[in-house]
Amino acid sequence: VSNKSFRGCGPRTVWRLKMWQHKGLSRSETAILASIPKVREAYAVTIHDHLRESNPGSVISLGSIYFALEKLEDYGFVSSWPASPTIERGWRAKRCYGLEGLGKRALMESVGTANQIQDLILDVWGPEWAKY
Amino acid sequence: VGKVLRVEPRVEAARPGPPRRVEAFVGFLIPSDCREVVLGDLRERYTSFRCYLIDVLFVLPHLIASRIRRTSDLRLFLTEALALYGAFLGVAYQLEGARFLNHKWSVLRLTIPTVAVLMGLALVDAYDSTGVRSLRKILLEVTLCVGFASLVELALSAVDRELVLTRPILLYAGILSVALVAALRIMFPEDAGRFRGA
Repeated sequence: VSNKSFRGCGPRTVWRLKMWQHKGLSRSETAILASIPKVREAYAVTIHDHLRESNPGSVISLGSIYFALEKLEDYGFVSSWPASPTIERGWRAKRCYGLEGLGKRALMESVGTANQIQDLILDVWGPEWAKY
Repeated sequence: VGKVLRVEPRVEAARPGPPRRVEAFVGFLIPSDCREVVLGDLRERYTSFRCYLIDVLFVLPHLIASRIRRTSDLRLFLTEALALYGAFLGVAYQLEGARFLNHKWSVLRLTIPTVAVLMGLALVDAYDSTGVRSLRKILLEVTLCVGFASLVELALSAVDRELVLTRPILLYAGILSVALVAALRIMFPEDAGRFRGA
């Protein structure tokens, strides 16, 4: 994320974005960001179900999804809005999430880093190691 | 115009849900900013009472941690920690002199009430949905947190009396802590950009 992205952001958001630039997205944050456009109505429960179905081996709890979504929203990677309540929720509102432009860029950077690491592994240890 | 609209009664959910009292208690534990959404999500996932409780146990710490992350101010937190530790140390030195500092657990004895007050303050901030700071509210919150620290000391005294501060130290340092932390909270205005929405 370039410095242009900080325009219009408060000091707290700029600090958070810089911290993110330093640390990068975590594995669970990347998975959550990637799953948001795939789910028809993306909220914590549907994202959790999607992650569990797409990758049964990984264990991302519902609680950590709430934590990650709030963090990603603070960074400006996702936006949220209240959606209409349904009967199966006991007429309680739900909060849906959508991927923002900044989030797409962060996801692409994350994928780019993963590809670079894979290329490095291929260069150093050969194609046999890439299978693992 | 003037016609009373007939509101259709809401149809009760046919699928089973958690007992109302349990749900109300869980709602009490969830920070108010995300209460409705999380209660709805938990109800949607409800399959059995046991699974519901497991969901609550795993979700609640994350929710509280997330609220603390959103509502805490590192600058204020560190200043409060320093002020609290200084207050306990100053009063202890004033009342017991060098004897207190030579005690093998002196650092730990000062750290326990400081951490307890800080934890209390972090929780109070996390559960506060308004974000409005008035003098009365601040005094009430800080007094509550010092009271919580006193309870922790009381509970700890049952385990090992050497780890806790004496009652006069706790009393005077408690009063000093309330004054210092309240003053700090008034001096440090709340971050305008602090995100409080769910």
